[in-house]
Amino acid sequence: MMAEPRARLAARQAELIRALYGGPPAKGLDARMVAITSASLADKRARAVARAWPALTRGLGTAFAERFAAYARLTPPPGGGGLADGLAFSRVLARERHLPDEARIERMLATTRVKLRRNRLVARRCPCLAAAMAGRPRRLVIILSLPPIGARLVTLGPRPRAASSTQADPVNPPPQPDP
Amino acid sequence: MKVPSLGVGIGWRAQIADLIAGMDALGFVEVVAESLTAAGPLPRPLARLKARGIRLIPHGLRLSLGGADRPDPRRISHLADVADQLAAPVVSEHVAFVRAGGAEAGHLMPVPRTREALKVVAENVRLAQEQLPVPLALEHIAALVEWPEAEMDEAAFLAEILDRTGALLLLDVANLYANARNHRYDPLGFLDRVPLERIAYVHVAGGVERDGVYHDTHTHAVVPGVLKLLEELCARTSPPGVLLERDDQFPPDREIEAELKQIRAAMDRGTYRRVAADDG
Repeated sequence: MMAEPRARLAARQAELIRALYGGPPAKGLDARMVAITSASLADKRARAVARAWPALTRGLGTAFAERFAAYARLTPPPGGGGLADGLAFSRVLARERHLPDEARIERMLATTRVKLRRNRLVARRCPCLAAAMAGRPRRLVIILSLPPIGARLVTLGPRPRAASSTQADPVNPPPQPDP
Repeated sequence: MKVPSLGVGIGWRAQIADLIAGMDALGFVEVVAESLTAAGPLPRPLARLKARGIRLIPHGLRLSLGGADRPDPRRISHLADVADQLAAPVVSEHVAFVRAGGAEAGHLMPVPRTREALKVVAENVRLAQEQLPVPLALEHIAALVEWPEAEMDEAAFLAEILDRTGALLLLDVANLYANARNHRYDPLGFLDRVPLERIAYVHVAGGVERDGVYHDTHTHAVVPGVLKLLEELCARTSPPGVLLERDDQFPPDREIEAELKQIRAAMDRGTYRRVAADDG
């Protein structure tokens, strides 16, 4: 009996969400207020991503704000907070070859432990191994993630300055997948 | 249905966990429900607060009770589990939607205030209530966008939902201030028309004006107009609890302490007016 009112409401609400993320304007809504809302949503998300992805934020430097806004104003956030949003953002950057070098390890650490499934962050249940050449000078970075224990990161190759060759995961807080 | 007296509290955030742990006059804290995993043990700082006898209240952000879809039973059951885990006297959520048509909105969005939507929201709220172990308090949100099809104002819409569902009210004086200012209505008229006797507790938060638009940011200081509304509220009723929400860009501890002091002072001014009027 409620199907029709629910369907009408769904259509209207979806219209607003589309308008917030670069879609056509929602009928009868003040376009300026929609634009301001869209911008403040992007700001809020930027802060959450900066907290969850410090190396990515550092690596992009002054370009972070602009690049993140360009992504966030067109893309609704995946479920799972700053970690999930940063994962999606870093995927876009990687595809466009704009992922800063120092963020590659951070992204690898995240992708070995969590993934986006149906636009929601979920923890990986299986062990996962990832490797890449990263850093300057180039070193082989190997990450092994064993879900109940955590992730281990090993780097091989010429030592940059005084950095240690093996370290526990300092980069990311534990994921908080959506319930 | 009566909510216990809660006192003055603050929204728990990991970044100010130490400050909160050190507060001696703390009445209660609110915890973002989605930040907890009901299965595991409580994060240690929260477990310590609980052991001190400080009330912990889960505050849901993602049930989407104002959404077109029925609320996801798994999300409700998570909120219920968290309420049990915290031994909470009440849980709170919003009259808002956060997703539609498979997409996330990114934050709380306003419901078109039509008769038709009212029925949907009321049914959603009742579905949530059926699964929750404790009373549910509903918060009205701050929103810049207004639906042209609205058939009633905010106070009427909110009062009607509370009436149909028996839910409690989480009155947010900062949201009221923001909406009254941005949409040019009288906030005192709102206070006169929502059921103040159903208040579970009150939210207070900071914001900022940019280009003639007031933003309820929770990242700026509480503005005098919000404190004035809190005073007006306390001149009309004695709310069981009042809570400061600060989400990000945390100032030095002493500034947060000073805001809590300002909140207590505003409550005292309102209470004084109410008692004086009663005596007179």
